[in-house]
Amino acid sequence: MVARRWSQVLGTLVANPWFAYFGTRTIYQGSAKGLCFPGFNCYACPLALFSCPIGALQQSFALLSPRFKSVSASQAAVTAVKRAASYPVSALLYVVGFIGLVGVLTGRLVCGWICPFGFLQDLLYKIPTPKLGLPRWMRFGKYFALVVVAMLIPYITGVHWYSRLCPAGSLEGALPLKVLPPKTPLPEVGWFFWLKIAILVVFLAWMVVTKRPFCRTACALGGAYAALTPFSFYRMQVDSAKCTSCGECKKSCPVDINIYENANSPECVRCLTCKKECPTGAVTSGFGRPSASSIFERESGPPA
Amino acid sequence: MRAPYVLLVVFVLMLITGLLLGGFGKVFVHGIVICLDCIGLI
Repeated sequence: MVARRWSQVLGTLVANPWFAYFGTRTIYQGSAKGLCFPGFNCYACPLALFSCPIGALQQSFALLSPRFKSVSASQAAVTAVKRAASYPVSALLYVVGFIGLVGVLTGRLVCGWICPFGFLQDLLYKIPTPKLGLPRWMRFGKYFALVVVAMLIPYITGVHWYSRLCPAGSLEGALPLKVLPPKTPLPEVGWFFWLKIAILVVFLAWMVVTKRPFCRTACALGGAYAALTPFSFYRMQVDSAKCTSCGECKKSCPVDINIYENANSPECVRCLTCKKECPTGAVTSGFGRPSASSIFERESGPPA
Repeated sequence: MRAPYVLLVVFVLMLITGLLLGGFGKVFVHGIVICLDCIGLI
């Protein structure tokens, strides 16, 4: 899938083109950060140009919280929070509308084609080691992450806990800012920094032995897109007359699913590898009108 | 099946309303906050 690899490289570069940081040592704060990037990319990354939709989502919930209090690291951030606190609903509408629109149009296409953190997981899994599967129940973790950690807890506590524990934030934000600190002085590293790094190390090791473990178990953005995938206008289809259930699709699948069991599974990241690998050409995809059967039942199944 | 179309309309309306009410700039402000706040240097 050369096209997908190039698309992932391009997605990573589009999300992180602020190379001026190396000269200015200033995190980009221009108007482009008013836009969300559709993939999972930390906007604490010194190179980030756009906002993380999950970071913005939970910050909106935190701002709506009656217990909201600033836990910011600088006076500038405290001031910014106070200003933003006047209009948290508009930000929430914008972010939910953005995530929902991407999800209902494409499902998890973004996860498979442009998400930088998904790209990293695809690359790490290529390291030759013994591989492990993933228990089915762990897939529900991403919905828990979305509803409880990224929305409910920020609303209850007023603190954006998902971002604080996020391994993408540690890799793209905390570590680079520690190695190449910005001009604005930052507080010293404390125990919480090392907790974040420990979570990151666990996920990185897991990515080597299991296919996309973060996407499948903990990505709140993936959870949102997954919930909308059965309703999305971009559809996968499997022709049951051509499908022989040979299993080639699962072997090549980056999230380890049998596409013929549920063509529009919430787990499917629409990478289209199965479409390419299918020896009988049974898998097709494209934009179309979702039908009731495709949403509430399985659109296709293995041949009898 | 109407559900996808209803969702599409709802999300588009939310996005436009958020933009009209200033959500664009607010996400920008949140970006600064999280940049300075979530690096774990505490």
